[in-house]
Amino acid sequence: MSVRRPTRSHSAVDSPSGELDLAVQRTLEALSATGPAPGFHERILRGIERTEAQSAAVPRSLRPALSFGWRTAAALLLLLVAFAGWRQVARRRAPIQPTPSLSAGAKPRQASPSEITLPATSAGETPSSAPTPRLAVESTFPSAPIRLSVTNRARVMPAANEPAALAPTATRSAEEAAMEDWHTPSFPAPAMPLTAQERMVRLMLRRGEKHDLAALDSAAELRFAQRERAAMKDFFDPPPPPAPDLSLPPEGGGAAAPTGAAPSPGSAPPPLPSAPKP
Amino acid sequence: MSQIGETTHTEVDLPALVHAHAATLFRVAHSLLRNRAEAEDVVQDTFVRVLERQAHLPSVRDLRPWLVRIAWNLALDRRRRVRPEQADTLFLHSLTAADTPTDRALGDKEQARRVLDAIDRLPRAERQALLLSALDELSPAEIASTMGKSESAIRALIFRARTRLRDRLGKGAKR
Repeated sequence: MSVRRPTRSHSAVDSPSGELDLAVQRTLEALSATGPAPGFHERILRGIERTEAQSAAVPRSLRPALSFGWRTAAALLLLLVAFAGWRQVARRRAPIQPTPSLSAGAKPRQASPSEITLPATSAGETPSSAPTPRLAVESTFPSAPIRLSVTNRARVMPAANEPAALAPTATRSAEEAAMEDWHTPSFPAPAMPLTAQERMVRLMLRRGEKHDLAALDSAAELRFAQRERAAMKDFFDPPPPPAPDLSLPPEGGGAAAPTGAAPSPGSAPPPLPSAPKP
Repeated sequence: MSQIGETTHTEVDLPALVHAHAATLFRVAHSLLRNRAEAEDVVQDTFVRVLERQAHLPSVRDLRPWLVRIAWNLALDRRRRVRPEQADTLFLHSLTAADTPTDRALGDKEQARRVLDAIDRLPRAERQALLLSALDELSPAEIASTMGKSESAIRALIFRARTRLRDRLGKGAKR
């Protein structure tokens, strides 16, 4: 199947789109006209023989080494997977750090990114200005201030799934924990990367091509598909024969059609111009 | 009915196969790579693959579409390694005759380069349908068999490729 080549009788070559069609057609014809250099078949056969000879020789000498290499790589991969799984399990089983409680009347404070501190509540307890942020709390059990080493942006949250860890050093009500959580500054979540579908839609909108935009709207797609079918039919089907020129005087005597009248149904149609092959 | 190049179930008449199909495969690979040396390598690799799978040859119904499909996929893999700018330079030089005036030659080359860039940026299926149909060596049924689609789908792909090329080149010309 060759694409219908636009000719002067079918497309307005002077129009920009006609010129573009011709440019595309010329480039495609140049691509198809490019043939191999002389001696092509011999070179191919020699190259195949060389490749076959090499592949026949190599596996025998390197087969033990290749198989050893693959086995080692498979064993290393299994070890890595096992190690990663073991670390996951070990983290889940690690004991939870005890959490401090707020005394009544203590104001929960907005923590700065570099520290998390709570106001001192019991006598003699002052928040320390040590590099490691320290939580000084009042607890129902007399104990030393609980020190927690926290990283930047860390939030102190009660361990919901390990109730045994809360006692015996600090207790806090669920309401207090919820209030603290409410007042803890929230940091914007990192932007999620776009999915493949989102990237495609963004590209389609940026390009603004009719086919792609029509696909986003089902009604528009239906209308577009109808128009495209009609245009495709016109593209692939041969053009209709040109209408006979009635202004010219008829040749010969005899059966001359009257001026201005349409040709009779029985008369043969005029010869077609050179139609392109589909 | 035995096909050209096939003598027994497992033996392949390689020279006959090469003489029958190598030129077509070269044009298929060259339409994508635009580099003669790379296209010849692709043709060579295609026949090496055929030899590796010669046991499956009796089960292949249409040999030519099968070979074209292998060559196309190998050319796609190789294209990732070959920079298009390097590939196009030699091909663009071959487009213009030696006696063409310089300014006209430059204009023709620039236009052809823009067309090739636009073809490279077409969707994969449209590009394949357009390039295979432009070769004039494959029948519509063979192209459909190569791509695993119906003939009407191939016609739609070719039409869309042309329309898209016209739109993109028109937008590029306006800038």
